[in-house]
Amino acid sequence: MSRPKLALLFLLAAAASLAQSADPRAVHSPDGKPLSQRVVAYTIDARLDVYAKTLDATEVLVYRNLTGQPLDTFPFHLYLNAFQPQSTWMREAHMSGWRDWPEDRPWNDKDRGEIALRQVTVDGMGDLTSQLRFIAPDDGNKDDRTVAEIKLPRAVPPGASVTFRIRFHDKFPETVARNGYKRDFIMGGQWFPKVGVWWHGAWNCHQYHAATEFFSDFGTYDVKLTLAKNYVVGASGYEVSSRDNADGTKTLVFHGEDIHDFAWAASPRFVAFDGTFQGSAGPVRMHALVLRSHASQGRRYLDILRKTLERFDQWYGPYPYTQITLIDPEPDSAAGGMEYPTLFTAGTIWGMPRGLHLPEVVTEHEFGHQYWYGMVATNEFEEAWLDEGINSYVEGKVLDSIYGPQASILKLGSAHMGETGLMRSQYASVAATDPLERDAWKYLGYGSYGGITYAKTALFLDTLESLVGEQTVQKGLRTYFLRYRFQHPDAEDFLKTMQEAAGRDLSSYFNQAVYGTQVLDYAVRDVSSQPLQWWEKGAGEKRGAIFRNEVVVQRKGDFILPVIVEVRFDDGAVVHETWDGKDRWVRYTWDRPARVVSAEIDPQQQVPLDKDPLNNSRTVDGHPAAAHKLANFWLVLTQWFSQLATWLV
Amino acid sequence: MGRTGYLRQGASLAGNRKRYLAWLYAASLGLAGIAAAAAAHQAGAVLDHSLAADRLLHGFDVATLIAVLMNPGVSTSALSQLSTAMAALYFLAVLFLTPGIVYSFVHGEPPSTAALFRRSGEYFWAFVRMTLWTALIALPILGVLNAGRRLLLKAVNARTGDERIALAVSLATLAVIVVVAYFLRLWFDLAEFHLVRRADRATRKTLRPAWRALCRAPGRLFAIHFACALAGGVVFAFGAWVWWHLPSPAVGLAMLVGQVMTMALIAARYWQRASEAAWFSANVPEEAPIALAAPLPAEPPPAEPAPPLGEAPAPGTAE
Repeated sequence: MSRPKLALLFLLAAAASLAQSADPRAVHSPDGKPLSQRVVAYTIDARLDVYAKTLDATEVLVYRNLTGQPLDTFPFHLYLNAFQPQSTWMREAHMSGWRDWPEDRPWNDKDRGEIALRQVTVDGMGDLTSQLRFIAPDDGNKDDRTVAEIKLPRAVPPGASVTFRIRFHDKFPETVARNGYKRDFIMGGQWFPKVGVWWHGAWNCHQYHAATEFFSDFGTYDVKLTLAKNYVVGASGYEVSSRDNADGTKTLVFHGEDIHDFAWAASPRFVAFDGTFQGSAGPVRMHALVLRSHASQGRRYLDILRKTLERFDQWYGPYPYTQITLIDPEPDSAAGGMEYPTLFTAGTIWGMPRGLHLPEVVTEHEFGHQYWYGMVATNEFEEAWLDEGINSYVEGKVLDSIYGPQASILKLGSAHMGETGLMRSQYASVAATDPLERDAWKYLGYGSYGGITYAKTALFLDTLESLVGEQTVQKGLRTYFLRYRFQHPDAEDFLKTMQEAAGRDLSSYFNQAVYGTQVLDYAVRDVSSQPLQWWEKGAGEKRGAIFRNEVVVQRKGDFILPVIVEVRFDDGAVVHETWDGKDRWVRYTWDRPARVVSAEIDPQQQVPLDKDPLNNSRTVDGHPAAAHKLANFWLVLTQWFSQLATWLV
Repeated sequence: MGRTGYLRQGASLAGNRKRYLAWLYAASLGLAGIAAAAAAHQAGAVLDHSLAADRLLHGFDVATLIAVLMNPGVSTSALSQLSTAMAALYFLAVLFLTPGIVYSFVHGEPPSTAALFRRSGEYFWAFVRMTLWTALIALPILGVLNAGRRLLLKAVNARTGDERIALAVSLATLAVIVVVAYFLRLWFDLAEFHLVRRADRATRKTLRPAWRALCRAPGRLFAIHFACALAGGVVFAFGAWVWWHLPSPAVGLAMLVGQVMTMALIAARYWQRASEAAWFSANVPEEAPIALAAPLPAEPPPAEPAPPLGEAPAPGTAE
């Protein structure tokens, strides 16, 4: 081989190496290598009509076949087609109601969304548009068009790549399920044809359901977006360039890598708030695009974002991307509170009281998904609890550490509410409905999906702390993150990691809490004291009299977990008993020269998975003040309502 | 007489008839108290022997409140139904007592419980009819206004996501509805005053003269109505502020403050009527053939001690 040829080969190899290495403007890679096994590379050139709320684009997808076997069929998600009346998403939402779609809500044409594939060609195989067919692997709904499959004339061998060139057209709905437009705001989520994931030896490409979120492969994204010049855009990755066009539009170029989705949001009324977080992997630009009417809360968003980043960096590992973009969506849109890689939507209203931490809760939660979904990319269709639930547990940890465990949600006057209390409230009404490990669309309903995937998981991990200690749970989560970031782990991976961190067998606990629907509910059934010499007159009044003290504790649910029972006596003595919880009930007896005052199961409140906190304790004497306090509220509310009604007289 | 003069006179009328106000308040407290007792009973069954109650007493843990409300032993729907029933009874009680109160304000009849009940009984059905007229006329007007308000808010929301604009429009349109409601209430207050002047208790015939009376001094009457409402509102708001700053376990004090706030609402309405009645008596002459209702029988004079024997006045010399 001649020297010039060798030099050329060397240059090509260097260029290829550069193409594979991490872009220092997108991620902090310690060795310059990609952070993920990049299966996909998307290059999209899109033109957005901000008035018609439509988009036309060409997409080039390079798919690397790392499955170890030849592939001749490729399924694609076409999520925007969910917003059509005949779709599975709409059927489910219409029949049962969902987060922002009340049951039996009438159809309005503004709700219609669409992603139409105009042309699909495959390099070396020609135009295959006619080969496309819609499939419905979950429910067989022939009218559902959220998954399309294409069969190639010849298989892509293992290790080879295939390039799809797709021309498509989007029509956005008025915001449904965190997607679409509201007034002049447009949220571009799940807006392009996205290939499924080869997982566990098969394609994993579920239809879009009312309950489900998403699952996709890591890769790179180069997105060119042309739209009206007065619009401000936030997007996944970072902005590479911006160019004004002669026709009153501008073209923005974004690049993201080691991410598995790409979203953007656009509004002419965004105001940017920026800050820098010095993370352990390098500086992170915090880029908040806040509606002008919420500008007074821009710093509030950045403040909680910084505190959240600090804790995640310290507790679990570095945030490796160079930017995180926060979008403050339009009020009363269905676009708030949604995660995408390196971008999320939060939400607030004008005049939000400082003591009501809703913007903080949603900001923390959606940022948390950068770890539990963004990097640890679990299957949100089949194991929603792994991202939503772990994230909710961490949400509690982060917010409790900032505001205190009693006030992490609310602190207004004497009224307060903590994360654990909120989770418990959500969980209690659906405790026995569904196990954690279940396909998201198979839950009983929206309440059950939320109460189980979010709240029960958080309470399950909170309660795990009582078994193995808080530090062990945190250690397990850190190991889980560091081990599985940029991968697609499943429930077994998570549980094994936690068990490994605990260094003991936790299968009994996991079987009940994760795979079962057992309800944990312990109660103090009875507390009593009687003088032993009960037949003597005034036996109870005698100095030094011995009392037979009895406490009966009961397991009302089927969930078995060891608990502590704390018993207090009127001489100040405190006794702790450990109950394995196996029997339906246990009677504890003490003969002492003192009367029992109270008994309490789980006095340190380390078992928040216990459904009913009110029956965990019992006092001998009644204390009606709290009931009177509530009754007083009821009294004045009734009086004021009554007085209002007399306006007619 | 100026606006403040009528307010003063109204305050005097109301102040001299405190027992009527006491009746209204007693009805409010007694009936709502039944609902509150049921709430105390249900909540007590869950909380009285639970250490978790402390989280509601010292501070106010909303999660514990939710746990109470979700407890099978607490039926919020049953409690709501009971409260609604008590509100309905209170409505009837006010409907029954109002004629006597209004009669006393308009005619200056000295306050007595017997008079209150008698006049209330006499005019009860007339006031029932008047209330129906109020509902028939006022509710559709307010309903239409409210529907218009909602349409306007919807249009505003369609154009802007700026909550400040939506809030401003919402408050402005609410203010318009409140002003209209004030005038409607004034109209029917005046009609009630006319009604107690009529022996025939013809309800419908009071509407036109009441409207004419309202049109004679709408600004002054509105100012009277608004001033009383404002005074009540200020006391109510101050009570809310005090309640907010009370120590959390001070249940008794909180109840006291709550009752002061309730009394502010009831008393403000009472004062409104009295002040409007003062204006009405001074500015709306009685029209023939309007006749007063039958006067109450004179109470027998207090019995004087019988003169000692031998000092009895001679027949025909009695004074």
